[in-house]
Amino acid sequence: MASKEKTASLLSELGVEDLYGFLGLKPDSTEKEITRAYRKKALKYHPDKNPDDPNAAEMFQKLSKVLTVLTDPMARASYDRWLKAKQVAQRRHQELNAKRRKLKEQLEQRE
Amino acid sequence: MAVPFPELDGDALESNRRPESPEDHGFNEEGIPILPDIPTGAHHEASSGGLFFSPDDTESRQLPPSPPPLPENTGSSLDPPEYDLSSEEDVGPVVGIDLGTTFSCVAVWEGGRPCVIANNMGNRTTPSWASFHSDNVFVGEAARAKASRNPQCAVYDAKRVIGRKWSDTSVQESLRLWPFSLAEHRGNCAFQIGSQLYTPEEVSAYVLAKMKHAAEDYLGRKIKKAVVTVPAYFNDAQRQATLDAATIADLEVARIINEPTAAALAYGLEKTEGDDSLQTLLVYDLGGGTLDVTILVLDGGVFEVKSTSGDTNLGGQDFDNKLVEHFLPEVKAQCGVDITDNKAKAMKKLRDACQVLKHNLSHSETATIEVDALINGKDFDSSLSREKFVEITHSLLERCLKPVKQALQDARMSADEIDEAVLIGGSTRIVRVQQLLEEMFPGKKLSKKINPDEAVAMGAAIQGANLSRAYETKDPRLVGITLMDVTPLSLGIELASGKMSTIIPRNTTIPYSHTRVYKNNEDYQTKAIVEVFEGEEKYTKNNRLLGKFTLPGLPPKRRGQVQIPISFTVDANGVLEVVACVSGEEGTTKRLVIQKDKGLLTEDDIQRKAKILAKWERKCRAEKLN
Repeated sequence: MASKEKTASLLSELGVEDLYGFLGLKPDSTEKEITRAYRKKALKYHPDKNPDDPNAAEMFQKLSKVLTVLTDPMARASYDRWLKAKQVAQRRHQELNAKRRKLKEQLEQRE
Repeated sequence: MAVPFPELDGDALESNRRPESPEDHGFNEEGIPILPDIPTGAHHEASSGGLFFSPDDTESRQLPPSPPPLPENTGSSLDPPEYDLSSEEDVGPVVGIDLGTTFSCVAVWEGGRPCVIANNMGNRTTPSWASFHSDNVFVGEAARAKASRNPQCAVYDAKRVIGRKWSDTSVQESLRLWPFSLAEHRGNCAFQIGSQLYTPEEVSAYVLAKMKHAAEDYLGRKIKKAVVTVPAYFNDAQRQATLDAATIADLEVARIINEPTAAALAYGLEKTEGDDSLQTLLVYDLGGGTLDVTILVLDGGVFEVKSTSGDTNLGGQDFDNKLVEHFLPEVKAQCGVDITDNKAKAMKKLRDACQVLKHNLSHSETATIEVDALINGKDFDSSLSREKFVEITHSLLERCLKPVKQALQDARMSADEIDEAVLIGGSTRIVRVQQLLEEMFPGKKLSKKINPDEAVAMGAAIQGANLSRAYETKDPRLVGITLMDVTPLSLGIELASGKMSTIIPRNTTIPYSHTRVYKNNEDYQTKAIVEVFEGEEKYTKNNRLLGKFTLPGLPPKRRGQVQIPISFTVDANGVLEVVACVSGEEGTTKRLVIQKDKGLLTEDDIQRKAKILAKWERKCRAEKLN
């Protein structure tokens, strides 16, 4: 129970759901691709590069935290599970919707 | 922003942090707090403000709610320069200063590259020496020249004592071998010349001022800002003391950066242009007084420090000391006098000769030592082979690889993942040191491409230009470069049990912020004492206290019922800020902020010394001295 909440709290704290998309990557990226993408982004958002932007440090830290999740095999695996479960749920939801529509259509046709 | 989460099995993001022994945080494997024994007597007092760690909250963090989304491209740093040059003109360029134990060096970004500035003697490095006389203070070559006549007036090695306590074993061990006297001053070290005491901050300030002069003469304008380098393994007190030295020398420090990182910047700059390659470097910096090891990744223009380790008490001078000790009995036999008692001049002569001998051993198998009229008109001569040198310095050489192993371990890397080992610092010229590294990294080339004496200052100049927008907007070469450094030591607070609870582990990329939630340790406790420490030891008594504060206003509740989130924020400058708050049932929140402890000097001390130094600077300028 706690772990689910932790995932939730971490992701909501980051304000990002799609950690891969955040780095401009796909879920099947290698660790090397992840760290390199991170560095590219970090270069852009490092506070030294944005002396006038008070939010830069926050953004940089967000990047660091995304990296920590995606480069820790266990954390990444559970995030991947979460992501998958979410996609499955979404698909099921869509399927359900489709079924419901179909039934509705059928009913209407019968009338 | 709350997002609905589907069911999820497994341990979620539990492992989103370094593995830590659960015991370290005062709870056992089941996550149940281990209650410390009922405190008694004096201990009770001490622990009454204590905290313990609550397992439920290990993952809660406090960050500002819903940070603004990342803009895809702010473009702020890449757009064409729209920026008022006249305002930057007042500030002037940010120079890079390598404040070394034995030598210092200054560089500035010019014409698209870092450029070392020679001093008024035409030398590209300046001895970190100051010589105090009744009528004037001499710095650099002039001070060293004075030392042969008045060795007790000339001081060096300020970096070995800066920010250190008098009781420090390394200070006590070196005392015997210095020709000048060191005294205790409010628990810290101070150089004693006659009846006058000079703090290491002051001595360093004179050296910094001298470097500033060289840059001002060269650039023909006033210098106000500098990037100053310190050994990576310097603790907070040593860094703070270095900052105080800069303040005394009327220099605003744009950034304190670590020496090996600076060297890597200088080394990597040549490699970054249009190069998308990925490289892992190990920088091995064995200087006059310190050994630093840093592992960093060069990816495009990003310099990401992975880990850093070192030995703040191992350098060329220790090798000199061993040689001096080795030759002392021989001197006594040849000259019939023990020169260690109050024969400062003779000691200096012997030490200088030992240094020459050490240098010569870097290019020949055996070397001779000859000192004319060492004492009482008697000459001293002897010789030493490389083999014997290795034997004498055995205990030092043994320590040379320890930080390398530590850095590899911290970076979670093996020796063969290192693409190149970069050697800097004059003492890497010692043949045996190079052999040890070759053995450690078989088949890898040891890069000696950059000048080991100048690389650090050049790197500091690159970072200086990087931090000064005037340069960056002008120079496309710098736009792609960012330095991402790490915290050298773990930061945390003391638990009621006396254990250290780490909030930010060492080698965390900065800037960084992290919050952990603690709970009250006693029933109806009304205040909590938060003590902030740095270090790697399990018990805080073996780590270094950075500062403490008392958090009042805890709602009176049973043990473990009050939650106290404590957040640590380290900014890009490596400065730590600690925030603790209590949120009671009624929603009351108390907030206290502490900065890290100030250095060893008081604000008044600094102001007073700065005035003296400013007067000295004017005098030097007017009379063309130094």
